[in-house]
Amino acid sequence: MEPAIADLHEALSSARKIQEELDRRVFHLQTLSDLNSELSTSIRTEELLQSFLLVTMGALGVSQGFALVYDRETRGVRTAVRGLELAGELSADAVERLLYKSFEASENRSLAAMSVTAITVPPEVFAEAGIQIEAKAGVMYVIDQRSLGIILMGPTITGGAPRPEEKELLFAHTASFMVFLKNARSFETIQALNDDLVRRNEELRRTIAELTEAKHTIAMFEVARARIRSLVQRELQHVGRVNLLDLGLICLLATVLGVLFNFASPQSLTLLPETLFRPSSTPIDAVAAKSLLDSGKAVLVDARPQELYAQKHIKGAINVPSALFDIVHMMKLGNLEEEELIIVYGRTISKLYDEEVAYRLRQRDHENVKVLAGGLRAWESLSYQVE
Amino acid sequence: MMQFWELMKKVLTSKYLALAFRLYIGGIFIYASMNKINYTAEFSESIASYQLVPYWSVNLLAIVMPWAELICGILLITGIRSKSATAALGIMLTIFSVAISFSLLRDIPIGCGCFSSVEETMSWTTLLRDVVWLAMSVHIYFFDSALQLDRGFPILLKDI
Repeated sequence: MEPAIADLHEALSSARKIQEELDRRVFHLQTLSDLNSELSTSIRTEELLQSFLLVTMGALGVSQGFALVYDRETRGVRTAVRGLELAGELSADAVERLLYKSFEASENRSLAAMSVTAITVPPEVFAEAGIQIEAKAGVMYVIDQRSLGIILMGPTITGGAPRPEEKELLFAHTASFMVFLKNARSFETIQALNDDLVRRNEELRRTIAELTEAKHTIAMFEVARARIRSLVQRELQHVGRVNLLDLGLICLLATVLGVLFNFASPQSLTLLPETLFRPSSTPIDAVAAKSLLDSGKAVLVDARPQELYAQKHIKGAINVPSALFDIVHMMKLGNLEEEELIIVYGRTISKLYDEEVAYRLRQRDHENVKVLAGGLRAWESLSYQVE
Repeated sequence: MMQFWELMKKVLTSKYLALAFRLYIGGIFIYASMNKINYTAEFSESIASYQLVPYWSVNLLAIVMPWAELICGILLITGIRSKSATAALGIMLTIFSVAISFSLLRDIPIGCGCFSSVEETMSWTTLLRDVVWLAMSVHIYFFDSALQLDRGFPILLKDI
């Protein structure tokens, strides 16, 4: 009876151990399920890292944890830590050194995609990289050629190292984590592609707008070109022949410039002669003039220029050209009484010399100034004396 | 002998001779206009002394004519609208020659007023000089084609 009871106790003890082992396995499976549930809620690498580290540390009952993902293409480093402080930001170079040493210390030295391998790296290697962790378990994982990383677990809460089945659990967690991480990376890639597509789309829209604007500008230039061509062609037709328009333009330009310059010039001329606007002087016919001159009751003035006077003039006439009026008046008529009769003659089709000199004589207070009607011609027609 | 005449014909119809005449006549007219522009009153006296135009138009002609000479001179030298400018100068020279002829025939003792108001009394030499200039203008009209700015338009058209 007693041996049977002893066997029963032994069987019971064994059944209890199996029960404990089964419980642990159930617990592990539960944590794996929790991990999957937790990881499935996120698609961001940082969040996945944090969730993974939290659940796995809880499952393994460790107080320190470190997780790292490294992107070899962009040299991007992303980490998650719990229960310890990093000395500083991990540089890409430091991570690459760490990964290289981890690879050297790995069990099967494999870089196959979606592989996980245990590593036993001396603590000073981590310390050198600024990670102060007393690593009791560690794995290196490779998602693909581009992404890989390491996971380190510190001592358990009781101070020991995780047991072999817990290390297996770490493997299982890491494998599951890799799947989610890979999905996250794919999502990030898709998102990056999408962002790139949006950016390109915006660039395309801008380019289309610029092209449309350029098309309008080109159309405008085409119109301008056609206009210039027609203008030049029209100009070409004018070259090499006389154009009435050109002659008209020359006249117009000369008139405008001449009038403007004359207006601004200190020696400006009136556009029309001033004699045109003055009242005519009192005329006297040649017979009456001859009679007065012969009786010495009048003075005869030849108002024409000196050359014409020298050529021919009425006998006894004093030459007082309008251009030299002031000086000649002073010299020849200065002593004349103001009321004495002055008879002026000399005009041509182009200039009324007699009217001009008569006007200036009146301005010099000569009250009795008359103009010889018909001038020199009328005088000569009566055969009066000239010299 | 034939060669001599051919050479003469070539020289007399040369566009470069026309260019030389063009520059000369253009320069003469620019120079002539300067004094008249500055001393309009004296120039109006010169116009009046010819006794050809009505007295109300004398001042207007004295103001406008020098500028027409200046513009034509500039156009002739630069080679812009040189045909029209030559025609305008030809018309002016014809008018001057006719005016000088009338004055000489009527024995009016005046200076020609071509360059300044203070000039020797004009003579048949003055008329001969104007006729020579007129002949040069005719030559320019028919044979001038060198160094004309507006002949650059075909090149411009090709560029466009």
